[in-house]
Amino acid sequence: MEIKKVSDLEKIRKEGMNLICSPMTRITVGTATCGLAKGAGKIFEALKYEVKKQKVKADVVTVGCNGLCYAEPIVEVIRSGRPRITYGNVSIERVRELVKSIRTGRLLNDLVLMRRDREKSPVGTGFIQYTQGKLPKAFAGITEYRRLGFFKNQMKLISKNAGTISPEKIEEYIAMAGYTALAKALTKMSPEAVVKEVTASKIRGRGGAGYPTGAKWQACRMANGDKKYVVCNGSEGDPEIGMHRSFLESDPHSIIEGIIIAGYAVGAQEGYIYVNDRYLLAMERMESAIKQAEDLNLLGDNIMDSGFSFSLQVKRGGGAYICGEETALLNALEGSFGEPQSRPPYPAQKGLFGKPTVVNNLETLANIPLIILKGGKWFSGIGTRLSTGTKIIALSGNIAQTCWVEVPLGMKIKDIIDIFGKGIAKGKKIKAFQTGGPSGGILPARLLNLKLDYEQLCRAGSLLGSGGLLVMDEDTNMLDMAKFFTDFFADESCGKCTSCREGVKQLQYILLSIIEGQGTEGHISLMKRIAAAMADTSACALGKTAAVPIISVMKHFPREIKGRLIKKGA
Amino acid sequence: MVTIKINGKTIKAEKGTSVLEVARANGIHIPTLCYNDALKPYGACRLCIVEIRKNGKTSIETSCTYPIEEGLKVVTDSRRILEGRKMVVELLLARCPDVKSMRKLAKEYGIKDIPPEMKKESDECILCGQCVLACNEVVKAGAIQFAGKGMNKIVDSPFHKPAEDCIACGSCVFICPTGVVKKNDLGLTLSSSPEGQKPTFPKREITNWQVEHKLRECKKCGNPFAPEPHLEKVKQEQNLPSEFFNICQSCRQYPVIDEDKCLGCGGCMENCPMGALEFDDKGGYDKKAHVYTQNCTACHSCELICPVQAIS
Amino acid sequence: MVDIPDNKEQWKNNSQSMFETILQEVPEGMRDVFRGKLMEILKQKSKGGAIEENHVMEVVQEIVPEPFKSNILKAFSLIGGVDMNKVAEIIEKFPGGQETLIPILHAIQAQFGYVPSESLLMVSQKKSTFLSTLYRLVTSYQAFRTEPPSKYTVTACNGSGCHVRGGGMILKELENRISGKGTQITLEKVRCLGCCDISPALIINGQVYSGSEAQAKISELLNK
Repeated sequence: MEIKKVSDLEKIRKEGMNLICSPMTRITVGTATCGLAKGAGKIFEALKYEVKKQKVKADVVTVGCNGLCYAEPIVEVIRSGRPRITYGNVSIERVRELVKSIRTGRLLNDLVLMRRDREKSPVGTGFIQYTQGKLPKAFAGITEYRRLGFFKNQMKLISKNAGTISPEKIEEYIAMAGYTALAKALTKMSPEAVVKEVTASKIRGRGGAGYPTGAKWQACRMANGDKKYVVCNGSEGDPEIGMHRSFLESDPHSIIEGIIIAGYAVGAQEGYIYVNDRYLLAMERMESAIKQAEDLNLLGDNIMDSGFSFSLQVKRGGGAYICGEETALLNALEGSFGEPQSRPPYPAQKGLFGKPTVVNNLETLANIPLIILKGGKWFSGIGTRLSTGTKIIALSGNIAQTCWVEVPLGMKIKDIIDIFGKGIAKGKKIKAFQTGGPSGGILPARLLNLKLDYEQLCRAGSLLGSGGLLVMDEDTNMLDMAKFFTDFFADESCGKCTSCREGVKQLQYILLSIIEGQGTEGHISLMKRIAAAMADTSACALGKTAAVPIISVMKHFPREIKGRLIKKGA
Repeated sequence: MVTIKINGKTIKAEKGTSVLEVARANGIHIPTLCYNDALKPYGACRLCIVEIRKNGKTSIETSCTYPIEEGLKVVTDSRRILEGRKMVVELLLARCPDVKSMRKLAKEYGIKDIPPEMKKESDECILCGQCVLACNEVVKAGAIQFAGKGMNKIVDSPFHKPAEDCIACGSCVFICPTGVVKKNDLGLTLSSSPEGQKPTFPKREITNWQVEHKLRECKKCGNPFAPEPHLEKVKQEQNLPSEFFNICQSCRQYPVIDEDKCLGCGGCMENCPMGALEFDDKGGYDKKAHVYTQNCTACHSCELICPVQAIS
Repeated sequence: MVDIPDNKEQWKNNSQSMFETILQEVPEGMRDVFRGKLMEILKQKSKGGAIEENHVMEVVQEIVPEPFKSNILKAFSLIGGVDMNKVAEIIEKFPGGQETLIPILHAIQAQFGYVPSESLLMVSQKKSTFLSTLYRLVTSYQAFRTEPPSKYTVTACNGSGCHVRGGGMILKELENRISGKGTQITLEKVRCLGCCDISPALIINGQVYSGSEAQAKISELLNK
């Protein structure tokens, strides 16, 4: 069917809700890349087999990642009228028992992580009520998820669907109020009103630069051009995070909805989603989501009978971190090798194929539907005064529990590590951490009270960037980490400008000299001079921040470097 | 027209012109390495950097690519800029210590030696991109391109094999600021061959791209003057009679019009592929043909068509 | 596998493989005679210079009768293991200009496991793009391989999380074990596989392993 009015959307919402909260039992398996790496694919197949063999009336559904990466593979069981049960670390040997437990009503107590009695419905003020009537005794001992520190302290706004809905069924997205923001924008708001709402939210680009999204959209709206484009930056070349991948695999429609609204706001009719070349499953799921949206007339000509048309395509990258820089990305879309271009002119005036283009980070676009639904003013009340909204943070490294979470901006980094990551693995002490990727530098443990905030992190010599939070314990060699990140920049430099290409090569060489015990004070002063020149004269952010890892180690862990230098007169 | 300030000096210029062009037009020196006014500015060398102050914010940009707008304040020689430029030169010197033009540049910046802690290489190419841009955008032969990225970036022919699209025009050789792109023109003389083997025909080698092509010999003086594929390419692109391609630049002569013989029929004008002939209006009925030599390619078409042989 | 005999003639590119392919169509007893006769014709065509692919092609077009001709032409398209018809099919699927080049390269690599140089020649002809432009794309983007991959591929996560958890050491060890011994293993280093809980993570022939398990698996492959 084609969705021509809001009541059509309502019909599909009911269908979707029937799947999520079904009279039949629903078994979900987290099959994003993290789950699949730990065997979730095999478990999915095994569950289907057992359900058929044991003649259990259940639907086995693939869902995305809910952030509990340390407990993958995750299997959830939702029996009609019973709490939603989450099992973690499910191994293939337990599948038969798990399916049997659905028949018998017993639980696999050693695998249970939590239960959900109800959750807030995204539509209106109602609830999705899983548990009907009195809570059965068998479940009483299991913690309700809202009381778990892991979920209590998050603010799951853009990630609310991940792990709950099937990324392969548009009805389930619609059940969770999906596409109602688009309907509101197209039928009740003018493009200018949409831009105004986004500006009022004070949301800033989630990619790194933190540029106000509303201002970017306004500039593109006002630009002259017979054709305009919206480009979603899903290139995610940072070496410590895979959240774009996770999003695309878990909830692709939230991105689609955000892009269409962006197109409507600026006057673009074509959009591209640029994806990291290795994200094959993510691209597959996104492409099939686009097809489903087209079938329902939520994409294509005359969307929802509004007169607005928009088409969307997935574009696979060639594999280059530099293509995360917006002008290099546009170059790549045009079929060249991505090298940053000088600005002005800015993409909002002259972008893809020379036309006005808005390039937005994937996470930024995921926020758009709820800004439209609940208003920019509401959004601006979350987070801090200048850093509004939430941020996805992915914890990795020597953390006890690898996971990802969604927290309001302004939260303390120490709290994130303690509450969600449960501190450092193997009981060790934390020595250093890094936010925002290699450009964020390596910060010492004494700065853990820093808040997740664009300005605060920038002042500390770091940045919010991608949202990766890398944790390093007391055994980590800082010089080795500096070398690792410098090597990263050397691998990824495009080679266009002298400062970056030659500068990072020399930094590598100097670092090697220091590591091999041949370093002197002369090396240090030269390194500082090179770093200053790179920061000043490079063409793009990669070159400008390529020296940050080594400079931050020199600043915060001077003894690890000075201790290796050849003493004067020795 | 917009008004900007460069080093405190107020200047008026067309909006959108690059800061570099405006500076040069006003006698303000900004050094460059990869800039060439025949090519689209690339912004690779970073030598032409300046401080741009706009809306209360300062940023460092390459002057060759930055378009001027009203109220811009430019500083070309602040300490930050000079130190940045000095490091760029040091880095290039460390990469190409044996290149004369790099050593000269280093001297200008007071750099006596490469810092001892730097890695010294022995490259000769500074990756300015001029040869690539000239070949792809001006000559449009597309024989060479950048290959690889970052520290592995080089200029190369496809698969490092002889460049099949090369027309041996030599633009890459002429434009190269370090002289790393080399050509070798071999004539039909016997004694100059090192191996004692005589080349069977005059040819040009573009050494770097492993290319060699026969040089055509001038019908008038017999000297080799241009590579065959270069002449073929120009022939395909320009509407010129084929005789034009058999005469060298020195032998081509511009037409001289005998005004006594000239009828003013205009036949030469109609036949001129470059529009180099026009009437010189001496008033009344007395019109004579006149040659504008800046357009003339000495193709001799007018000489051939003149009914009274007034052109020689 | 076609046996290529030793001879003093100059062969350019695939012309010799093509020549031997023609001879495969000839009954074994007659091969020497045909070899001699065809070589004479080829030498005439090349006028003493190197024998080019188009000389051999002309021989097939002008002299060889059906059905041998079609068989030979089909075999030609498979020389170097690259089915050029497949390449043409792929290019057809992407109408448009320069913006289709990267998708085409991905599709070619998906088909053949790498991007063969012959395929780039065809793309450059059909898309009116300079060959040098395509060469730049395949050498600058990490996704593309210009050589066929080895029998086994080990993809090691070189992301920050895995590095902190010992990935750096494992990678170094792997590089020493795998490289330069003519092993049938290609080591690929990539950033963040998204399996941070089992870091350091490695993918061996499509299967994900964690650090120590991976070492055992690799030993197994090296001993094959």
